[in-house]
Amino acid sequence: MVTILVRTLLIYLLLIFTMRFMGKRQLGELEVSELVTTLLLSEVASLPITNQDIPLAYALLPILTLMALEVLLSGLLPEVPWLKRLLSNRPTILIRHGKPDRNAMLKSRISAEELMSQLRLKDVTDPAAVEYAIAEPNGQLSVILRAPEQPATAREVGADPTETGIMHLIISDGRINQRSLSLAGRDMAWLEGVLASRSLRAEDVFMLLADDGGQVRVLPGSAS
Amino acid sequence: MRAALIAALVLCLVVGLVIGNAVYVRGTVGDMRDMADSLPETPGAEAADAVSLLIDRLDREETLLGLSVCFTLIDRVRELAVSLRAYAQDGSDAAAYASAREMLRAAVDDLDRLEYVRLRNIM
Repeated sequence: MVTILVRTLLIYLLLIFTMRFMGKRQLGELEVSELVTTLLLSEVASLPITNQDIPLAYALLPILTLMALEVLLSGLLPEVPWLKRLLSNRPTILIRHGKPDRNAMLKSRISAEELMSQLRLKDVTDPAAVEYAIAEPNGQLSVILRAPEQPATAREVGADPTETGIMHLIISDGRINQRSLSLAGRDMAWLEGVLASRSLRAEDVFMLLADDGGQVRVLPGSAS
Repeated sequence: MRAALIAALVLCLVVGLVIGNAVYVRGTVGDMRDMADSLPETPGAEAADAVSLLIDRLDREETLLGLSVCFTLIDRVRELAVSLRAYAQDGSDAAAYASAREMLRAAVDDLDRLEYVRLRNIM
């Protein structure tokens, strides 16, 4: 039993390191080679955990090999166009200028019902409102609406809103995130000023958010 | 780019380890194969001593061998060797001794099977 525990821990740590090294691409939508790698990793990793007769090397070696191959391949694909064409799916235009392309749908094996379902998930109910609908290599559907159907932008309505950027989580559960603080373009002196103005200490704060426009939101930790 | 370089390095390391392990396993199992092949044809004290040497060799190499060879295969060789030694010490059943010796030889052959690139192994 001790062996099972040690093997599980080792393989778990190795998988974490492997997925971390392979990057965010593995966690998001997957290309073909990435999907294959992820499936294989999980199968290979479980072998020596469930079967004690199998040496640990039977998992370590394939995991390291798959990781190295996947990273190498993802590094090579942008540099070698024919390899990318061979290994990656190409985007396919399913709707062009409001008209579904039947041949493209047949080639992608997407039925009309599936297309309508995907459009509804994008809050689109009428294909005629779509300028382009593109089936991406990772299986997602990108929908670009026709100009009259697109939501008006601030510029189009003549508004001039302040750029607020994103909200940075400066304090989380009482702990200060120095990286978020510097990303927000702020420093400790500023933070201490904000907390002092509200008579709070960092440990008393559940969430403190600040955006690039200077807006600050503070959620104290105590229920009040 | 850096990640690709590290990946290439890891791949080279893995290949190097595999080749190194193959050389070690083939060499060790080759020695044990020779020991199994040179076992006496008839049971007796000499045969028992020879089998004991084989078992000792297996015990010494078991840790490193176990990194890449299934425990079931190693255990099978040990069980057959122990059984063969018992027949050798007993000395009364030459047929059983001969049969056990052949089985031991076949089991030793299995130890390094995965270190050869053969279609049969891959399939």
